[in-house]
Order: sequence, then structure tokens, then C-alpha cells
Amino acid sequence: MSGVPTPIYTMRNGSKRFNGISVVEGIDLDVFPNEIVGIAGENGAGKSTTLKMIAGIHTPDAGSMRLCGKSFRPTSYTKAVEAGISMVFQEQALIPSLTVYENIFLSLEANFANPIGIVDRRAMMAVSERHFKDLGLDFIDPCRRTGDYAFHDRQMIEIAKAFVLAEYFHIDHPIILLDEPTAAIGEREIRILFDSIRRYRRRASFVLITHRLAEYVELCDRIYVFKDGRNVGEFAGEQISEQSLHRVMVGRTRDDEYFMEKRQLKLVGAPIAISVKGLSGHNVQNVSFEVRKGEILGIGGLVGCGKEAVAKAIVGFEPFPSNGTIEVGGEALPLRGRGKAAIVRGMGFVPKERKTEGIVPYMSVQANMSLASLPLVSRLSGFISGSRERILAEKYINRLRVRCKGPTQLCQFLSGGNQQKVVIAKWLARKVQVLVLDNPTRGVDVGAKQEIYGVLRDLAEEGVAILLVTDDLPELIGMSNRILVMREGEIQFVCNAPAENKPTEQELVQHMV
Amino acid sequence: MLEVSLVGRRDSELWRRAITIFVFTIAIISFGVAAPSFFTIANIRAIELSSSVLLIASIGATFVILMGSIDLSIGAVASFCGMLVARLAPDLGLWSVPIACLVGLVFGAINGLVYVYLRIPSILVTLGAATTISGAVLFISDGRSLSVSNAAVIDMAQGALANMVPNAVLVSTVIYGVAILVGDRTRFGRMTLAIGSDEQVAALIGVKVNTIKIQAFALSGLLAGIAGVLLAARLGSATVTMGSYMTLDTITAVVVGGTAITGGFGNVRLTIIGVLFITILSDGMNILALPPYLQTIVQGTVILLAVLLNTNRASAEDVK
Amino acid sequence: MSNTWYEPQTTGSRSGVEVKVQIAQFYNRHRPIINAIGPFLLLMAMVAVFALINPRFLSWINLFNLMRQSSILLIVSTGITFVILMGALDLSVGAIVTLVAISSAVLIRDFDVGAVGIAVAAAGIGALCGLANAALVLRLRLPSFVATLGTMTILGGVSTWISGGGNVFFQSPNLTWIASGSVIGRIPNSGVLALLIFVVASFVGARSHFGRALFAIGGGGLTARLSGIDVLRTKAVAFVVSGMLCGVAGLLLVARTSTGTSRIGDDLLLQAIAAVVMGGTALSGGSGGVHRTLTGVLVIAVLQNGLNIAGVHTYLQIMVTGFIVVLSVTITLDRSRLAFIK
Repeated sequence: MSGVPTPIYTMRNGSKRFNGISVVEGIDLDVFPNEIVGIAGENGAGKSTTLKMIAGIHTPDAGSMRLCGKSFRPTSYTKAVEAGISMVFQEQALIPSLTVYENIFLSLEANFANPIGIVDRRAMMAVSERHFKDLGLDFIDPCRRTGDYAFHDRQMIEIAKAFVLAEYFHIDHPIILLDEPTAAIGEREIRILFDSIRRYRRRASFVLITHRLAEYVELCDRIYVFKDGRNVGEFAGEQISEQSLHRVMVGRTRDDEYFMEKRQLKLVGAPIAISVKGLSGHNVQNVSFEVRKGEILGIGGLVGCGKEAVAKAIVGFEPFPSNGTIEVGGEALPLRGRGKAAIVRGMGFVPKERKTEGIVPYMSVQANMSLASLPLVSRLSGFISGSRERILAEKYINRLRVRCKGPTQLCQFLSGGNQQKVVIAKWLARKVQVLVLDNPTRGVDVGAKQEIYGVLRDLAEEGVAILLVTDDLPELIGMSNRILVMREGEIQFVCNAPAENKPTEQELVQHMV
Repeated sequence: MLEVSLVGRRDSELWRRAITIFVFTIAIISFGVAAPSFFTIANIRAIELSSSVLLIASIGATFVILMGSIDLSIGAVASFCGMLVARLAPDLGLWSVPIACLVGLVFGAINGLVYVYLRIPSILVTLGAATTISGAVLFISDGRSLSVSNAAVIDMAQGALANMVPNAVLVSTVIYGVAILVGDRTRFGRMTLAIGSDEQVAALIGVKVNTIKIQAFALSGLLAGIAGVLLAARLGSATVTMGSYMTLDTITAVVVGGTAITGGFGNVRLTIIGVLFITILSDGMNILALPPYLQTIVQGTVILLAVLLNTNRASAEDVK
Repeated sequence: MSNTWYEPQTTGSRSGVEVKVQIAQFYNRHRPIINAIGPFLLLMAMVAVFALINPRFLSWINLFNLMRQSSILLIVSTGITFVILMGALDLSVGAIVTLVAISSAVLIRDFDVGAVGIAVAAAGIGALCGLANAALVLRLRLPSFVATLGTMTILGGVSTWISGGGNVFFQSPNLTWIASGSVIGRIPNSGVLALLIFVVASFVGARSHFGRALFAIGGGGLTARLSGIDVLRTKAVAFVVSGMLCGVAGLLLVARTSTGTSRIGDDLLLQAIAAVVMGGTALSGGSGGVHRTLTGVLVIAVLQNGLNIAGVHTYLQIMVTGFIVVLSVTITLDRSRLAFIK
């Protein structure tokens, strides 16, 4: 970096909408040569979408991009790769059954093939080997099956691929995008990855998304902070701390009314609705807690801390090889058939992935709402009554203010927030006694969020015990009677959160990181 | 999570192959012991013919299955091309052979085009094609069997190199060798695997998915045609349904060999294991004079067992 | 959810692409209507064409014939619709029909079983086959495609075994009456029975807990399970019902012809699947319905009957049928939900 540096890539006013909802808006972004840039933000802040716009996977609805000074409008990821931008995906865009060099050159073999179409394997292997050596990755054998290599090694292969393709397309200085590269690897591998990135930065620029704030601080030259789809700050890596980063990411004037804290119940002597003792297994260790009737217990922690696993274990999401007991209304839930038993005992689960776990998109609103309580809408004969189902649906459409064309509209056409309301209605119809929610307001617009909070308050008043697992800190603090913070599978911290004395985000975050 | 399943798969793949070969050997030995006529020259010749024909057709099926699709029209195409060669041989002599094979290619290409551009699942396309083509067979043959009356054609099929290696075996070996080459070393081969493994990733990386799909079906049609022609020429006559067994047998051969029915895993090389296994099994059952119905039952059981051993089976609730 | 197949290009579009996009957008917008009305229009068009070619097509005799011919396909297609709704496939339907037909023939000829007994046996055998399918899919966790492929082969062998390779002739006036007699006017019994089954099945599919569970499983198996639906039991019942209905169809078939032949059920598979898909039920499951299958069955039945009456050569008939089937499926298949056509 010398003189007045010009950015190698810029985005101005980048915007993207999905289904009419704006995911990112007005994004201004620069990437300079030999630089490591970080994009920080909460879940849903738009980081991944922005990265995909840079990589040509999403086309911006507005704004412009420039690469090396020229206008840049890739129509596909392949075009972006040809221009020098590669992405290392979270789910890894590698085919496990193919060998390493095949994966690197997939779709490019045309240039290594003789007229008959047989590819020159030796040339491909040689090129791959040369690059691996240059990058200090000698231990990777281009001729081995990609699937044989561990996850973190495959990450390195993807990075190497970016360099190989850059050379092939005569790009001096590629840009490599990393989408949560550390999410699934251990400490040691993270060290190796970071060392490699630092070494490679003399030949490329990197843009990084991660969930661990410490990593931004440690690795990045510059950090952009996104919040609610907008770029709210740009910081030099050396000048910021994790704490301040977090504050910028998340800090918003918490509106007391937003979470209706005044409605928070003071529970005196309320009976215990659900009791968990010594839950272990699947990265979770010795988790114990109780939730009383009418109480909202919030569980928070960083991604991967185990809070979601706890929720899933309780509702019997999958056969969870767990020790420990879970008691609902005094009776323990069995290990096999836990899901069914939980529902029978009056537990409901609002999952994180509503499209695949919460609703059946091709069924109508009323069919989805009645899914867990079919006997309720059936006549004596055992057949479902369309009219009863419709009445049930209309009742909850009104109560939850579900915005839809009517009970017979297919759920796939509803917005995320309304779909979530349908999921909640499904359990309300059953008059559940315990409701477990996993990030219920993820991807939900602000108005619908508040409506959902109102419903939760209503339920609490009716005596329902609520377990709220969430990444959203203000929500965690604002809604809960009590808060558990988990870290690496264990409960690190428990505190009360009475309406008049809520803990600050600072206090909680320090136990999370 | 991904790693565990892959590593596990590696080991179980080796186990699977070991078991298949083991059962194979036991089968051969038992047949040899049970019926001495198993090891006669005549029988070996018969096995050679059946396996050559089936191998050729199964290679085509392998690429389609690797891609994650299915071709249920192989039998009908084989019957048609066999019948076509019988029909054309008197007039066109040796030329009838390449023409009939090319017709197979055309059928396959049409399957591929309908599959890709009309976006109809391959089960339906090839099932519909199978019906139509079987009707076509009746059409050109008037419902009767035809004999292949051209000497040149017959010689080609029934002749032998140096009187030792039958031409049929030669042809199938060459095709097999080429197929291995194609599967391992050409873009086409690697990309069929990529598409079957993860079509989304493949498309993202820039693989021309549509082209490869059409090519795979065209290839399958071509090879089915060659198999049918070879069968008819070798037997000296063509019947209306002579190729219909191939539809099921090719799929069985591919699966028994170790290629996953869902695609993305396996290769052409494995198919010969399946072909030999089936051929020897049915030949042995014939020698032991097992009634046809029992042979069918055994074959069905074999399919089930083969897939049972081969697949990484999902949880019962996710199986469709 | 954007359907990337039809996503318009952002950079310079050639007119060919534009036209394609416009057609696609029109199709997308009106797809529900096209899906619902398409098969019906096709049916009307075919009826018109055949009636023009040979007015005999519309005679009562022919229409009753049509009923008789299509009753078996209707019953089988109804059964397989249940399986397809949940996102699976039952390739063994033809083989079950054959098995039941032959078994019934043998039971009558060799054991002199009465009509009622035969009916029970037929349904029972069919149900057992369905149970076998269910066991393979649910216990051994084989994909339904493979499991039913295997049972299809095995049952085929069993049928050949029972029949001794040849045809089984028998006499049973009671049975013949069930199929060809008429309770209501001159309407053939088989037609009445088939329609009755269809109506009941449609009702079950649309309004019963079982039917609702099928849709849920086909549209989102995980959601169904998490909502408390007993996925395993529902799937098993679907296979058993399909098998049982095939059993009834097999009985009707053999009753009509008084013969049990080895390959009697073979054509049924393609026709049944095509009928279901043509009617508007998605192969991937979760949408459509049992009531839709009637249109598909009628299209095929009218096609075959019409071609016959028009005097089209048998061989040509087979070819045209295969072709028209693929054509109709092209129009009615709901592709928006098939992320990857396999």
C-alpha cells in the first residue's frame, strides 16, 4: 500500500430485496489491495447477502459495483470467478467424490483437453501441485479424493482454487470472500487458517464474515458493521475492541414498550411447568434449569454454544443421545418417542427454520393451523370439517393479526413474520402448556416482531411456560423473566431480569465470548 | 458431519465390494459343484454372450444413474434396434448395423431433450418412451419374429478373433475400456458424477448441466442400441420383446456393482462386477433347471439385497 | 421464492430469451388454472375428435364399455395416488394386480371358493403386498423406488409360479356378474364399484386425518413429524391401502375375463402414474389430490377407447398412447416445486 490507494473493488448504494422485503439497502463498500476486510453484524443484518452480491450469486436491485475501475455486473458466479472474485462457501462448493485437482478445474477442463475430449490430467495435477507448494500446502495431494480430506483442509483447497483460477484468468490480485469459515472448525485449525490468510494477503484481498467478534479484531485491517441491512460503521481493526464492536452491531435504544416489559409477570410460588436436570450429549454438558408457569426463560449465547441443541433435545427433535431427565408437569419425558410424548403433554415447538420445520408451504393457512389439533376441527365421524377449520383459522388470524388473503391462502405466499404467526397459532390451537421457541423473530419485520412479543406476553399471562432461545440480545433481555447464558455447551451464567432491573448487554456478552 | 459420513462410506464401500466378490466366488463354486456342465465350453460361451450384451447396455445405464436419473427405456430401445437390424439387413447388408445403432442414439437424445427442456422427471420420460418404442417395435415387425438373414452381419457377430475370443466379447471389452476412460478422464465422466452428487454446486461452478444430461441419455440410447443389435445378430433372429429384460437387469447390475441408485457415487468400472454377477447367477439357475418364476424371485431379492448393502440409508421418516 | 429457471437476464436480452420469458411468466401466473382445467380441456378435445371420427364413440354401448375398461385403471390409480401424495412411489401396483388376479383364478378353479371369499382374499393379498412394501421402506429404509421395484419383480415371479406359466381358466358366474352385470340399469357393476371407491377415497384424501397427514408428509416431512403426526404409521397405511386397492382391481380384472394370465397387470403401472400426474398431483408429493386422478384416468381411457373405435392399428395405438401421455404430463406437471428434476 503506497501513495493514495485505490480500491480494487467498490460497491455503491448496493440494495437487494427478497419477496418485496428489503434485506440490504444503500451499502457502500470498498476493498483495497492486500487487505483483509471484515463485515460484522447480527444474524439477518445482510452480511451474507452482500457477499453473494459481490460474488455474482445475487444481482443487486439497485446500486453499482466496480472492479479495477471498470463497471462490474456479473450475471453469475462463474462470471465473477472469471473476473477474479472467488467465494469460499460455508457448505463448501466441492464435490467429495472427485479428486482435488478435478474439483479445482471442474468446468475448466476444456482448456486441458485434447481434441477428443480426454483431459490432460498430468497438466492439471502439475498446476495444482505448483500452487499448493506456493501456498505452503504441500501436504495436499491433488490426486486424492476430495472427500478424504477433513473439513478445514478442504477449506484450504477452496482457497487454493481461487488462486489457481485467478492465474488461469490472468488476474493478478484476486478477491477471496470467506463466508463463516470458522464456524465448523476447531481452535488449532483456525490458527492455521488465519496464518495462511495473513501470508496470502500479499497476493490477494480477503473479505470475511464470522460470528466470533474476536476474529474480526484479530485478523481484519478494516471492519464494516452492518445493522438491519445498512452499513452503520467502518472501523480500523487495530482501533476497536470486541466490546465496542458488539455495541455498534447491536446497540439500539431499547424501547421499553417494544418488549412490553410492564407486562412481565412477577411469579411468586408459581408451579414448575418443566424441569431439566443434567442434560448432556451432543456438545451439551450438564444443563439444568426450571421454567415456571407464566415465566419466560431466555437462553442466550453465541452461535454454536449449545442453546439450540438444548431446545431440540427437550422437544425431541431428533434422537438425542442424552443423559439427564426432562420433566413436564412432574412426569419425565421418554427418550424414544420424545417428540410425540412432548406434544401429548402439551408442549409446542416453534423451530428456527420455519419453511422446512414449522409450516407446510403448499398447504393452506387453515390446514397448517389445524395440523397439530385435527380432532378439534373434525366432526363426530372423524372427518375434518372445512367450516370448523375455517372458523379456527379465522379466530387465530384475527388474534395474531396474520396478514393473508384468507384462511385458504397457501402458506408459501405469506411473509416470514406471518408464517411464523401461523406456526404459533398451530400450537395455540392445541392450548399448549409449554412453548419452546428457537429464534422466533429471525427474518421477521419489526412490526410483526412486536405482535409476536405481544402474543408471548398473552400466553405468559394465561400461565404458559415459555422457553425462548434467541440470538437477538435485546429480545433476550427485554422478554425474559430470567436469563441463562451458555457457552461451549455449559451454562455460564444465570440471572434474574425483572422489569425494573434488566441486565445490560455488556453483562451478558462477557459471559458469552 | 460430512466427514464422518464420507469416511464411513469409504470403509463400507470396501466391505461391500469384498462381500460381493466373496458371494460371487461362492456362487461360482457352488454352481460348478452342483452342475458339472457349468464349466463346459458351451456354457462359458453362453455366459460370455449374455454378459457382453448386458455389459454394453449397463454402461449406458451407469452414466445415467450416476447423474441421479434413470433410464427405463433401455429394454425397448434394444428390442427396437435389434428388430431394425433384422429388418434392414437383407437390403442394406452390413450398413444396417451402424444405422440401427444410430437410431438408438437418436432415441436416447430425444429422451434427454424431453427430460431437460420439458423438465419432466426421467422416470416418466423414459417410461413413456419405453411404451412408445415397444409399440414401434410391433410396428416394424408386424408382431412377428424376424430372422437376421444377412451373412455378413451374422459373421460379424458370431465370428471370433483367432477363433478364440468371440467378437461379441471383443466389442464389449473395447466399449468397457473406452467407458472407463470416459468416466475417469473426460469432462463428461467427471461432470455426470458432479451433477449426481450435488447438482446445485455443479451448476454454481459452471458445469453445463443441460448438455451433460442430454449427452448421458444419448449415450445410454446408443449403447442400448448396440446391445440390441449385437444380441439379434448373434442369435440370428430378433423377437419383439427380446430386449425387455435389459431394463431391469441393467439397473440391477449397476446397483449390485456398487453404484448408488441416487447418483453421485460409483463408477463404470464397478458395473462389470454386477453384470457378471447377474449373468452367472441366471446362467447357473438355468443350468440347475430352476423354474423361471423362481429365477425372477431370486432376481428381485438380489436387487433389494444389493441396495440394502449399498446405500447410506436415511432415517425412516426422510425416506421417500 | 424465485424460480431460477425463468429468471430474466439482466444484461442485454435477445428476443428469443424475451419471448421465452414472456411465455414462462404467462404460464407461471396462470399455472393453477392451467393445472386445474388443462386435463379437462384435453379430455373434451379428445372426446370431440373421436366423436367426429366415428359417432359410434358416443353410443351408450361404447360409453358403458369405456366404463368397464377404465374401472380397473381408476381403482389402481386411486390407490397409487395416496402413495404419490406423500412423495413416494409404488412401482409394484401392476404386479400386485397380476398376483391377485392369478391367485383368485386358482382359488376358484382348484378350491371352489365362493365370490365373497374371493373378494376377501383379493383385498387381503393386496393388503399383504402393501404391507411388505411398507416394511421394506420403513423398516429397512429402502427408497420406495427401489423397494417397490424389488417387490414388483418378486411378485411377478410368484405369479408365474402360481399360474404354472400358463393361463388359468375358471367358471364363476357370481364373479362374472360382479364385473359385467348391472345393478343399476345397464351401467356395468365394475364401473359403479370403481366410482364408489373413487368417491370414498377422494373423501378420505381430502377430509380425513390420514389424508391430511399424507399432504403434510409430502409437503414437509419434518414439519409433519414436529407437529405430532405419526409419519411411520401414515406411510405404512398408504402402502397397504394402495396394495389393497390393487387387490380389488385384480379381482375385477379376473372377473371380467374369467382368466388369469401372467402379464395381465403390466401396462397398468405407467398408465396409473401418468393418470395421477396428468390429473395434477405432483410426483414430489404434497399437492393435488385423489379427486384429481379421475381426469387423468379418463384421458387415458378415452384415448385408448377412441383409438380403438377409430380403427387405429393396435401397434400405432401403443405408440400414440405413450406419446400423448408424455405430452399431457408436460402441460400439467407442476414444476415450480421441483428444484431439481431427476
